[in-house]
Amino acid sequence: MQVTLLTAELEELDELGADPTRACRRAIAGLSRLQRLARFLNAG
Amino acid sequence: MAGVELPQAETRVVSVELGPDELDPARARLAEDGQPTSGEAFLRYLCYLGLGYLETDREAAGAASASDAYERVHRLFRSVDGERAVLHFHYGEAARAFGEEQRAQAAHERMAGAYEALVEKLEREIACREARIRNLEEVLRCK
Repeated sequence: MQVTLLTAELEELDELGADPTRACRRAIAGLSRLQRLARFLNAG
Repeated sequence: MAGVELPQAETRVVSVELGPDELDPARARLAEDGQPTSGEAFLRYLCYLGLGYLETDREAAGAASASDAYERVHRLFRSVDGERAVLHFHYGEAARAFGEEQRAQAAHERMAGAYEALVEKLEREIACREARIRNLEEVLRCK
């Protein structure tokens, strides 16, 4: 899949040693963790 | 927008190698929060969110202790928050200016509408008087 990003954001990703795919994977992992936390809090 | 450093408007098209099995759960989670869930906006949102997480990871990795990590991350996002507040303010100003422009446009259209109605009224009045004159002339010719 293709996505248009600001060059400045891509440079920041480069500085962090990452690429857009890795950034998306990290966001997905973070969202999933938030969801698990929300479920845990709701259950309590 | 004085005092706000916006990134250059240069863009690049890049590819994201993710399948629906990875993207769909994130899409569902973002839908709950009212965030973009389709097209490029969805992928861009994930990229920018991921960038934020990666920055946080880097800060936390360089910390000597949990409290130091908390301090560093807090500092990182406080500065982001400050910039966001400034951008929010300028966005609000721009939106208000746009609103005022819209109101001015609406007032202009109302005035133009009122003017058109007046012209139509005058035209009807003129047509009515012309008809009366024609009738009068007709009557006079018959006498």
